[in-house]
Amino acid sequence: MAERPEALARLADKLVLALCVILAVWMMSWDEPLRVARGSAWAHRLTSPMERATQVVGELRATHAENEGLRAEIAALRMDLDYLAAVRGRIEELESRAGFYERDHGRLVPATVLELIVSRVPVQAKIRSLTGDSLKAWMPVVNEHGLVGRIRQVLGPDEALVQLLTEEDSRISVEVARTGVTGLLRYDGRRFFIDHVPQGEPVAVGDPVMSSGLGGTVPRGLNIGTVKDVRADSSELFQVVEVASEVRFSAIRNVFVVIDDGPWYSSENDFAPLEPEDAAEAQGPTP
Amino acid sequence: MNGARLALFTIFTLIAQVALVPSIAIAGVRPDLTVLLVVIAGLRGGPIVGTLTGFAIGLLQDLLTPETLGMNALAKSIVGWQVGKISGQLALEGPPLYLGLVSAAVLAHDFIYLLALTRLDIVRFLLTFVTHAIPAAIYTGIVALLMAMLALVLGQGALARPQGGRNG
Repeated sequence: MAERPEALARLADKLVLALCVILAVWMMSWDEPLRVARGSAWAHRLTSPMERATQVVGELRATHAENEGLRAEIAALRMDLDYLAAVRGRIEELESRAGFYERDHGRLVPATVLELIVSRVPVQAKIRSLTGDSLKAWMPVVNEHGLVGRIRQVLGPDEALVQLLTEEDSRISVEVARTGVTGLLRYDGRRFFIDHVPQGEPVAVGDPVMSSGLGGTVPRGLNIGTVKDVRADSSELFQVVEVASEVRFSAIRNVFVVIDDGPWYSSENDFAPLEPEDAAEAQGPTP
Repeated sequence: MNGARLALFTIFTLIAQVALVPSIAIAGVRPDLTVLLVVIAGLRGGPIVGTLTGFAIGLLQDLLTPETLGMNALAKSIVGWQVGKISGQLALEGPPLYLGLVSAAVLAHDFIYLLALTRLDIVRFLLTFVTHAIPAAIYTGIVALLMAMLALVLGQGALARPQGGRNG
């Protein structure tokens, strides 16, 4: 019985050799195109993990290099940002010394127009804040085309009555952006004009007009429109400057209230909320 | 020599054969390190290890040139088995063993390989055998001798034949 395993052991190497030889001869018996095709496929299968690993390593290196570049770029941008912050600080300091208002125009809060109060043309609008932020009197109201008006009276926690620029006594100080010439914006029922622009002041058709910030109720820089016409009569004291506003006051639906307290607010401009009966009266007729 | 080490040696040997050996070729004659590895495997592991090592490294070599698929595997399997079979009956020890045994193994390997490659075209076979196989066998034997001497000097004994040998 002990001889059988020994005989098997003696045969084992011959069996392994026979197997290897059979396999090798079997492969050699294939046609050359088949040998090439199968050999290439096996080689590819063997080397594909290495190729993949090489590819991954290459991608990692590229990513690492890209990260290095991005880090350098971030560092450079941070330096630029620091520099710009310093410059901005200096500009604000200079503007403060020169009596200018801060450049911050506040935070915009969306509001929807509930009603338009019309007297030949829309002159007031009742709005509701969509974010629940509390509204205050004299907060500026804008839309995508520029300044629409100011909150005239607060009707509730998130509702207010807006005095549009088209109302007769809505006078705000504006500025011709190109030359800095200032005046008061007035609406005559059909068109906007800038009043009190002395003769000889440089104003040209097409000049952008923005809020000047003077008067303390509207921040500087809000878009009003562009100069449409200039008439300079030497016999008159002031020029007649007509302004075209892009705001369609009869079609405003969504507006933004500039809610952050800015230096343009002053306690003397604050209006107390209306009494309920006054509020009801203020809502008045709607179009 | 366990399986993992043998597999590692197989891969290193194949890489060396492809990447390094061409740079030490003399007049187009190159040593065959793969046969050297098969001889070492056969001497140290016996005929089964020699056969399997020969088949594996031969097949890998064939995959590099798929036109010869199976030829290297066949030749090296037979060489590995034969070396394993005679490993316990050799009278020589040390470097001289490697000079003679490796040269003979390369000759036997090339004999089988060239027969398969030339498809029994005797003229072509003889021409290639004389101009390539014999110089390659001598060169490989010398490389094996140098390696055995180096191993002796370093005291590693990595190429030494196990005492008592194997009968397979």
